[in-house]
Amino acid sequence: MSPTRAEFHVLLALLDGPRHGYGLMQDVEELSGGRLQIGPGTLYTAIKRLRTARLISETDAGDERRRCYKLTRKGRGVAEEEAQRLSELVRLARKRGLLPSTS
Amino acid sequence: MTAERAYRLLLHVYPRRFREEYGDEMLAAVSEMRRHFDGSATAFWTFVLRDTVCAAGRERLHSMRWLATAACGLLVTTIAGDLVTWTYGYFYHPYFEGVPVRVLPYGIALGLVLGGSTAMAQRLLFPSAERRAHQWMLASAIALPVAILFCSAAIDRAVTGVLPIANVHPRVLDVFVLGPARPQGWSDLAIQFAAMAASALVVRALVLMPRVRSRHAH
Repeated sequence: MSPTRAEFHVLLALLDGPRHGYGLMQDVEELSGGRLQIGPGTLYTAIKRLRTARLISETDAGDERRRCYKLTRKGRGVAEEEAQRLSELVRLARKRGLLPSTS
Repeated sequence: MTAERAYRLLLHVYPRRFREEYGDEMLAAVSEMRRHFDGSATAFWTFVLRDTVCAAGRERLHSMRWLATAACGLLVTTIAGDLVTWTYGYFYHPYFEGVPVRVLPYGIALGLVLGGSTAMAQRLLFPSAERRAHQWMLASAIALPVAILFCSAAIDRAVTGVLPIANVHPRVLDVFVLGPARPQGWSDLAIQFAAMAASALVVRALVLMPRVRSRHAH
């Protein structure tokens, strides 16, 4: 599966370890430098899709009301693939002069 | 009214299943978000409302995929049935007079098309492992033949003689009842339905079971 922008940010946030919903919302905002702010609706629809695809799983948080989520091995693989794909796109954009060359 | 109480009302915009699964967590997240939100109450609720409308809309659309799966099966099977009827009529020769198309093989053939097309639609619409694969399989193998056979008969009865387009309109659907097999009564219709449902079920089982097994293996 190809993750959406919000889903990819959730996967990135979970690379640091398990998080609960609000923690993920904060991490996504921080990771994107404030450019992406996701609300509970976007977050939990993303969580549902990622859980169905088995990219993340639930983990015990010791809190009845809040569940924590962690990245699965498959989820890490998908995140790596997506990062690779984006990096390839950036390389192409550089080659075409859309972005300044790093060298 | 607290943010949590107001958001509890907003949660009703989401499909019930989704609300039951994530509603409590969403409430907790909103209440924490409200506590730490930097902007005004108006900015907060504008953000939450926009998020709710977009996410609930996507989720509602997502939960309607069964309709698209069913519609695809219905459409493909109707077209296939029409093609069979047309081919049968086109190549008709008096030599074949009195050689009827049996309801059993005709039902099986339609079921194979139905099972194949709904399985294909499900694969396209549900790229990830589907939790309710078994229910989907049963629904498309049993509910759709029922819908096709009995709705087409009902439409045929209701429209014939009432509307001037009666001779054209029901023809699209009634190929299942009045196709080349031409069931001669309720027992023939039941045989055609059973054959259709059984073959659709077999196709769905063959297509879906490896997916379900591999899902359990993980």
